[in-house]
Amino acid sequence: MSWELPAFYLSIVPKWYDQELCRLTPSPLKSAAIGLMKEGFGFDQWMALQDNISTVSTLPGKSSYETLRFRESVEALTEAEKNLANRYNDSTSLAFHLAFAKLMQDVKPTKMAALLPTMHWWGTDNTFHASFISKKAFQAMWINASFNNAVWLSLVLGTLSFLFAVIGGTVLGLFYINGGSLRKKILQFILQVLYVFPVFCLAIIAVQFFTTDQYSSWLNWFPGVGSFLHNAEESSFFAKIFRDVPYLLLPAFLIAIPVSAGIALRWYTGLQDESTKPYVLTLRSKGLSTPQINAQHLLRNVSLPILAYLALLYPALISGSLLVENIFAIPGLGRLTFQAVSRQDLTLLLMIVGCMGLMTMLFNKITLWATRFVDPRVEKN
Amino acid sequence: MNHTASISNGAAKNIKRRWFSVVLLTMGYILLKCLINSEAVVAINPGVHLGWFNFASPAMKESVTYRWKVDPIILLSPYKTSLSPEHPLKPLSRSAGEGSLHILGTDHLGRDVLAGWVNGLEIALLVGIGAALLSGILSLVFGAFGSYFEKFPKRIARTTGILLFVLFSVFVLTVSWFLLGIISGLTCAILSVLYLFAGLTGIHFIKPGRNSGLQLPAGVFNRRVLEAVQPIPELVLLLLFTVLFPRMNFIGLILLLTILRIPYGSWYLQGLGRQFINAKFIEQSRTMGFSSGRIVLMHLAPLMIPGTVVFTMLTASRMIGAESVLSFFGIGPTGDMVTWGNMIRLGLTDLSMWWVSIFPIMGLVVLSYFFSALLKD
Repeated sequence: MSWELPAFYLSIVPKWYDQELCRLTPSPLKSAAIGLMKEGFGFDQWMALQDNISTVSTLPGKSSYETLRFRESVEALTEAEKNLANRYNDSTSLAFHLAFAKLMQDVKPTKMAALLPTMHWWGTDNTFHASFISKKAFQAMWINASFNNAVWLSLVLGTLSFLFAVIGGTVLGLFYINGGSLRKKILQFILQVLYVFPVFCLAIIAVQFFTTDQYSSWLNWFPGVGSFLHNAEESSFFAKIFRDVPYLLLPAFLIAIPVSAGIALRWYTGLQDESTKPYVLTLRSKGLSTPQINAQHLLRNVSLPILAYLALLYPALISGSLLVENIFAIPGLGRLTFQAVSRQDLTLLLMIVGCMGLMTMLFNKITLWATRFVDPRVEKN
Repeated sequence: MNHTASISNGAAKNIKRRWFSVVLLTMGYILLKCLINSEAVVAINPGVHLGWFNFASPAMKESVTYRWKVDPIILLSPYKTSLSPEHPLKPLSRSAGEGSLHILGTDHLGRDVLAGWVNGLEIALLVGIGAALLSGILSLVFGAFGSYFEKFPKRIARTTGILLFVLFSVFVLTVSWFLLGIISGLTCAILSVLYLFAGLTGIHFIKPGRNSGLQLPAGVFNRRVLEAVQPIPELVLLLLFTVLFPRMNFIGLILLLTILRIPYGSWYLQGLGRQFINAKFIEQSRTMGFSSGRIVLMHLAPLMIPGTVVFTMLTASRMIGAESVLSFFGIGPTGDMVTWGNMIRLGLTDLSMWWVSIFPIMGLVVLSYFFSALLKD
């Protein structure tokens, strides 16, 4: 049993639900306690039962008494206890059986009045206050090395994958436009397949074929899974960059592949649509060369929808980094998210989700500035 | 008017043409079930009565006393393990004891990969198409109503506003009690319906004064919901909900995916519906005295069906991906089944057995490509 601070300033629970249960962390034990108390089991009785089970189950050969803790109804509990008493026919079991029978005498069915909600005020002694409102705890959490480090690693990974996606997508798109019809057909098929390729599938293929010499020593190009060892002592910015980037190259590349395929397809369709418009014909009749038209007029107009696409790209990068960080065991924000999920740590998860929301807003703002830079007609509202 | 009609006609033709591939997909799936499966394809048992969804019950299939049954060609279970020193087996190799041919090989526990692949395909299609159809229909309704009503059609009294606020708070409390395990899911659902009923009664019977009362903006409702959902990536939300509902079952997963997808769909379809609300026939039917609900459902919604089909296809491929990610992490109701995501994860445990993860990856990519290729014309 682990008693912790309650989750929030107040708890509103039915009358039969004992206030102390609010301090018990979510577990099978807690759901068993709720099930029993729903049927009229008092809190003191439940504690006495837990004590009895603890004392009996530590005796040699009596560990099966531990299963009594997780029975969710009075009926199932009684039946299981009866079976155990029949199986172990000795003095300790008999003593336990008698104590159990004495406890069960006091169980009375819950009345309708006990279903009404009651409120209990906990004051500032709660998890929410301790982790979000209290200044000291807040500072401690932000200075906490693991969270700080995770934010740093995710920032580097995100920036790298974003750069790869934008540069790779643009290069692929321009390569695609300039090609002949056969090259276009092949490239279009490849790009469309890459566009729907899930990131974790790409990562598994990369891990299997490009990080080991299982199949050929020639294919062992990148550091493998779990080779990322973090050395917290180095503090200089460039030292950190030189330490982390080699390990993050393959993950960033993997995150960028589907995204860059999307960008390349958008470049192609955008330029295709734009070059048939009448103003291009006018420019050409004025005597401008194709590179001049492309650089001064077409690229600006085409890049507007692509900038809008880049703004929507942030969630894809986040979920991509969540998957890839878990596969490559990089202790970033994505791995922290998954750890919070598997530990059912809602407070940490809330903090991560809030952080992601803030970063989304920042990203949208940056995209808006870029759009304004490209197209001054976009107004300032 | 003519323009819009021609657009919808063209789209309808395309849908008719693409419809054939959906039939092909279904037929291919049935063929696979007849080819490889762990149970009898059809079994009639004297002890069990035929009823709704009875064909899926284990009692129907696993009973020894069949009156009549049809077996698949390869009777292999994805869960049947056979541990021997030679496992994992490569593709196209025979196991020593039984001598059965494993076309795609086996994994480290001796489970057949082809059987697992078919099982994974079944689960992916069920989740993907179920969630896509549900979210398509619901977001069509939300989008159509959102595009037709600029403002909520009724002015509500200030008393009703307070009543609605109280009811909403009580609803939040009820849901939190459900999450804590204090009340069951059925009780929670019944209470929620009661609150909804009470709110509707309040809106209907409490009349506002002549110059008072609130008129809620209905046109931006979908937008506000989307703004609340959009900053957080879908995958993170999915993980968050699997924490909140640890004992979620298969239908619960489909509902969860549907609910997470509806804000996107309803906003997209609302934008589509805006193109049609100024059409003449809508105005004419309003002049003829048709009710708003009838205009929305009978005249506006059918025009939005091509857009809904596009959204449904996109959603199907996304939902298949989301389900495989969840089972890849081993959480959610499909975390302990043999699915594509679980098989792909096995690629990390033993780097030498490439065949266990490559075939599910190919299946996932081909299925996603299939759904996106359906959209092209």
